[in-house]
Amino acid sequence: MSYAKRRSAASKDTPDRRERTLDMIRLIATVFAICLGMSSASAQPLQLELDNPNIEPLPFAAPSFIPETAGADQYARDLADVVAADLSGSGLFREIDDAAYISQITSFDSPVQYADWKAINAQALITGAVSTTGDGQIVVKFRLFDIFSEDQMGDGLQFVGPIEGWRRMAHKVSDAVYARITGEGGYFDSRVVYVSESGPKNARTKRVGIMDYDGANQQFLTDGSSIVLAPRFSPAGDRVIYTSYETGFPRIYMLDLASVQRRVLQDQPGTMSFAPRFAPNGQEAVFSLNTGSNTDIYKLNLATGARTQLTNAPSIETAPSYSPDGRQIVFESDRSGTQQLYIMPASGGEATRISFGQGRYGTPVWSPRGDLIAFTKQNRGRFHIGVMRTDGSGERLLTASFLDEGPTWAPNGRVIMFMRESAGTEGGSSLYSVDISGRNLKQVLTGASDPSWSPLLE
Amino acid sequence: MAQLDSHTGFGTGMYVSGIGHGLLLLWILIGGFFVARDDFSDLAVSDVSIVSAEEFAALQPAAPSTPDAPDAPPAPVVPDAAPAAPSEDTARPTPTPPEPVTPAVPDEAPAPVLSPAPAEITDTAPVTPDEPSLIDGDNGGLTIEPDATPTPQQAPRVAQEAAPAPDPDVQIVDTVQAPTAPDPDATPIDEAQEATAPEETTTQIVTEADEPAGGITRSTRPGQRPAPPPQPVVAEAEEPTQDPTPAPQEDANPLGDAINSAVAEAAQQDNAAPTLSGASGPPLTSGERDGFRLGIQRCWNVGALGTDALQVVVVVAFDMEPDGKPNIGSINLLSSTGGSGAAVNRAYEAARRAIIRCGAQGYDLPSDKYDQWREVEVTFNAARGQIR
Repeated sequence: MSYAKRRSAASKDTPDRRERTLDMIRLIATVFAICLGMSSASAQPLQLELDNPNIEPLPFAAPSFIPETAGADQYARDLADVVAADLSGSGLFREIDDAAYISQITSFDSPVQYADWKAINAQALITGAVSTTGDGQIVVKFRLFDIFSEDQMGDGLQFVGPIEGWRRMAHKVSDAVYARITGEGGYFDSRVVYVSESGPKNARTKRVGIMDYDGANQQFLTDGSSIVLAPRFSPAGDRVIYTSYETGFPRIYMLDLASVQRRVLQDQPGTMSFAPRFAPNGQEAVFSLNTGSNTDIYKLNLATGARTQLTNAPSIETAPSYSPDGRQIVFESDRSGTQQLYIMPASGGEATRISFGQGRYGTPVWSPRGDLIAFTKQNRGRFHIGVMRTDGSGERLLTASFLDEGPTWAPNGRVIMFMRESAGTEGGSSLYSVDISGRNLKQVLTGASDPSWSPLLE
Repeated sequence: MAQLDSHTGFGTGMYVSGIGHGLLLLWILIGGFFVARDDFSDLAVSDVSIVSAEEFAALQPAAPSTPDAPDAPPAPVVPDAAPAAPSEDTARPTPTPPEPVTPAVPDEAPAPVLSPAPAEITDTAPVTPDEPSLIDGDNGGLTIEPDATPTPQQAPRVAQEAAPAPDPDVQIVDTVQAPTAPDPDATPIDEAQEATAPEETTTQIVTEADEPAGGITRSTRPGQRPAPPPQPVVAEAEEPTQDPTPAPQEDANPLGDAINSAVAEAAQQDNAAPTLSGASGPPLTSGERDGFRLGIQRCWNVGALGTDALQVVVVVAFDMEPDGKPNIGSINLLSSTGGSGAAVNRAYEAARRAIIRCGAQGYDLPSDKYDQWREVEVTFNAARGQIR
């Protein structure tokens, strides 16, 4: 029955009056119902979805730390500078020039004038203080503030150490700030071993060097009398394993950083051993051993010297690298006819090829996070540093140049350092770093190659 | 007359030409014997091998010049490659080492005579353009066969494809057909036309199931009495009756009917726009919603987030003040997906900063629709828009 027909049927006696009454009642009911609907609908918030964020360095302010004792003025300024350089150098942060500051930090405990920092668009503020003690110690403390939230991010931290290690104090502060804002660990308090190269190209002097991650505090671990290759840090950062041509043939040596004492690990006459790398447990190492015309991968017990062959193929297998859990090894091999990447169990056995792109792949290194593998790729006359997932998917090339080679991971798995060599007789090799997003490519050190990043220092 | 003269001159010329050619052919056929004998005897006399070096050297100044010969090859200039044959006895098995201080040997070296290179150069036949090999390229072009009879030049082709074959010749029938004329008595036959769809009366097809006919189709509350069996309402409406029989309950209770109708209409409107709140005013337009969304997104910076935090999707809820500023104290994390606890916190903080930063001056929102944006839930999905 339609509404119109019912209405006609209902208006038999006094149609006009009844219809007016019904209309009025209907109007009142409608208003009431709408009010009910509005009240119920108002509980539904406005829903929005954002999926296109900005990728920009986060602006921060790092005023000079407050010197709390006499003689700490210089350290106060230097500490703030190193912290700012660390954060800005990561590519994730941008320092605001202190000339733009509206308010100054005069005391470590004074309240923060958020409005003043908002006005210059500082989204993070680092305040700190430094003091020295009579026994040669330095005390550094800091706080981190979220300006627009008008809140402190985490608790304040304090570090104490020898005064000559003030740079490490600054790196510790940087790591803490980095971790609190990004949600992942830092990498500033770390070191890098590398091969220092000097002299003309046809008579290079190569020495094993060690430095802070940013190129500071360079020292040499060998004298340059013989060619050295591929130094690698131990998982604890206390030893370095490398290849030396001291006897005319490549042999593997292990160097203790504390005592600077070294010993040969692999000295079998008539063979060449090279490309060593520590296992995650620090008690074993894998390396390549050339016997006659064949090269295979072996595992070496560092305590007993026992050697275990992991591959047995007529092709060349080299550049092994453990997964962080120590259960797998990625290496390069030309068993397919071209140089490609393979993964095999840490105890040896059947290997699975993971690289299938154009060109040749080499020097694979497993990320400390375990999710990616960095590699060197040569294709069409160009060298690249790239990353791929452990199953070979998601390959991304981060760099391209005349010669890029030998990647090594930062402790947090976010940054890769590698060697870049320029073309020409006057060309030289340098160390570069790049974010795994491909951004923030920058030169770290000239006259160096074969970098190996240490873990975060204790 | 001119034609006769020309004919006469032409015949004489033909005779002279014929005799000349005949003599030439005869000379070619039989004259060669005499010449060949003379040349052969001359060649037998000039025996070079018996001339000594001294005699040859004595004869050299009197040797005729060879202006047509090309320049000496560069071989004499190179000490290692220049043989000393001109000054040495040709019978010697080993050549004398060259003298490095005598590079200017053209006076002594009869290179133009002894070297085979000039003969090779002069004997090389020029390549004529009529060679078929030059035309028969392997680049896919047409092959032109040599033909004695010139072919007429073809008209330029304007298309790569050949023209379609012409229709077969029309066969002309001997019989003549009378022209046809319309028959005035014939009844016109309507040509069959394809059925076409009637003109649409609306741009949207709405079925009865989608749009009610205007009556009450549902109620928010149960009916008080079961529905009576269907009645011939149409007849009753058209023919008012004085029958005191009570009408069905629906007709007898117009007040409840009207209330039910109104409530149903309100509920229907509410279902039509479930995400919009707005009973106090019109809903936000898409432009206003996008403006609000972009206003927050403008300050959403994930450049300092870790890779794990970038994979986290957070839903942040907050209240808005009437002046368009967010109530900072009301901002809270409603839910999150993906990532660990630390990554979620970092992603939430980045979202919170975005809301506060760009809301410091108040978002551009219509104040008359405050109820529409009084409460806000924003989903921040950094993973969708970024490939890291």
